[in-house]
Amino acid sequence: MGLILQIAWRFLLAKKRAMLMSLAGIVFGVAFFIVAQAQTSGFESFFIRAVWGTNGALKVQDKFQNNIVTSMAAGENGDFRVKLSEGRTYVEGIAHPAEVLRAVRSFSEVRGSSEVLRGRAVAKSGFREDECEVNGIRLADHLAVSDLAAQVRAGSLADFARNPQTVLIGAKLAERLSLDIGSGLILKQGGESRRYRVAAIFETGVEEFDKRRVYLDLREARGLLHEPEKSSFIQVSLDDNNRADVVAAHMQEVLQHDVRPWQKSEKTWLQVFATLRISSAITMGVIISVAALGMFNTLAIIVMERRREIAILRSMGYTRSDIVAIFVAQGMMVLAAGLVLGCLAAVAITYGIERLPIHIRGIFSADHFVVKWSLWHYVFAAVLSTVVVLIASYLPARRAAKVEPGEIIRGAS
Amino acid sequence: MTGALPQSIELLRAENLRRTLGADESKTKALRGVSLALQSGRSYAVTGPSGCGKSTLLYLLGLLDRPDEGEIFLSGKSVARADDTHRTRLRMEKIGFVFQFHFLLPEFTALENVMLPMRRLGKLAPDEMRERAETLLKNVGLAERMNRSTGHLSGGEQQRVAVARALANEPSIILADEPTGNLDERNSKMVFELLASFAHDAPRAVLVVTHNPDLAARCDEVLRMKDGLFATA
Ligand SMILES: Nc1ncnc2c1ncn2[C@@H]1O[C@H](COP(=O)(O)OP(=O)(O)OP(=O)(O)O)[C@@H](O)[C@H]1O
Ligand SMILES: [Mg+2]
Repeated sequence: MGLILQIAWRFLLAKKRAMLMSLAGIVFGVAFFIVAQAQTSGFESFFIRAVWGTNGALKVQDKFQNNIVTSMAAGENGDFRVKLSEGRTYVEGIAHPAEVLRAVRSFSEVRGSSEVLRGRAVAKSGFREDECEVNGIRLADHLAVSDLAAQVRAGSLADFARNPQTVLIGAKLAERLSLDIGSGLILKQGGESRRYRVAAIFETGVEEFDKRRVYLDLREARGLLHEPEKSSFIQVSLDDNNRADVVAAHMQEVLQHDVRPWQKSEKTWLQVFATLRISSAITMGVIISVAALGMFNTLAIIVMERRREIAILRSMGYTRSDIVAIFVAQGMMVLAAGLVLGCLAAVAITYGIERLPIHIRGIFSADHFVVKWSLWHYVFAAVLSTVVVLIASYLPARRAAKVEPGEIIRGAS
Repeated sequence: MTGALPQSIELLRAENLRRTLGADESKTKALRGVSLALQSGRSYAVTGPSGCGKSTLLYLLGLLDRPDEGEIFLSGKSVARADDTHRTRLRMEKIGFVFQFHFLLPEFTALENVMLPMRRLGKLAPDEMRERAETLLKNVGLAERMNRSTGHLSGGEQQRVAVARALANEPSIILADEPTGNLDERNSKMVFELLASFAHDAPRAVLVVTHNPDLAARCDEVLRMKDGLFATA
């Protein structure tokens, strides 16, 4: 093997230009592949993290009862038909939260669960009024199913925990009502009107949440919303949030409550991201194919330029597989260097993109481009480029090794 | 030097070799039914005008090309249509080939070029390979040039390296296509003597293509070619 590697190495050094060409091809392909992945999935995983951090992995909500509905309808020629259809009757909310909470906690995949009472209210400060969404929570429970602690921009959660007359308020809403830490506001609901103080302001990055949401102590919320027993839903986080759909289906059967995984509740946006991903995959596929074709071309030329040497080696007793091994080894040497440089370039470019200032205020807010750092992008790039280089160096070498050496020499002299 | 050694054996036999080269307009019947036998301990010269098919014949005998018709026997076994692995192995162990235009690997030194067949064969220890390569290069008068890259050698020097390389694995058959074409008289003689002595030291055969009548005359047998056939003596 040392002999084959030595020959490969010498051949490589002797053709610096061809080597640099193929090296450049690999570096470009690898870096492009990684960077494209990093920036395509960046916003998506940013969004998903925000959703998990705010709404948890799934929600246990309305209770349902399976029942069979019978109805009669007139057929085409006047006779009657009996139609049977299965259906479910939903009862809004969770009537016995303590019971359901206990059942939820018995699932081994569940990491945390938090009972939430949600209702609409009007928030008023100074001269301004705005609609808001009141969420009654037990703080300790809720911290286990959200990133609320990390989302606090100003103020303190400790204050909120100690004092039920305080609220946590979304950053956008606070801005609109000109509220600051310690400012007072009034929440109004169905004739009830109570005064609170802002303990902390949070920002999830998702516009929808930041401009409406207010957190309140659960017991306080029951009073404000006139809802002494029921809860709206139970928010759950899992050990592996990606399995939420599977766990949800199971829970739904056991609990006889509607269970919505994040994949379902955020379907609209996830589909937008999926579409974006497909469109960028198409662009990426085209460019990767062009890079791969270039690679095939360069390596084929490298072999072509070595036909004479191939014939000489063959005449001395080097086998067809020796020849193939020499060129595959040569390809792998360039690949190794190309992978290292390509990955380094990808890191540098991704880092640069991450610092691109952009101002997004829409479904989510960001002040710079969002990228995703994932080792898998680098692993995929390595696997893909290895496959391409393997094939691109194997095929022409095998073809050249098949020709009788005399044939080549006759053509060369 | 007519009488072959009593224990002389037939190393190679070719029967009725035919080979057409090219296609359409350039189609040429390069060999039109050539037969010959190489006995151990003997040297052979092939002469003939340019384009008569000498190189074509040597490629076939050296298992570097396949005949359209005819058979080649090495130590009594048919090899013209044998599989490539078998033929490659025979090239490595039994045949030493010198190309008409001294084909070496320019990325390697003279010494390394001579060692390439030995390393592939893998019979000797690395030290022994080096020693043998050095001896061979000294024998062709290149003691001073051993560690020079062959890209930086003159045509004649390259040709001598090619001869040394052909002898590297101690093949039983040497096929040399004008090995002295680029050499002055002194070096021609030296290379030729080396090849001839190689054949006479052990049960080996040497076949040399040459335009030089003096050298041809020194061989045990002279085969004259014309238009793809041996001229009948
Ligand atoms: N690739 C080819 N296509 C067609 N004809 C060819 C090809 N190569 C060689 N020939 C022809 O085959 C014939 C034999 O060629 P060959 O090389 O064996 O001659 P040669 O005796 O070695 O000549 P020289 O002494 O000049 O080396 C020649 O007529 C040549 O023109
Ligand atoms: Mg010739």
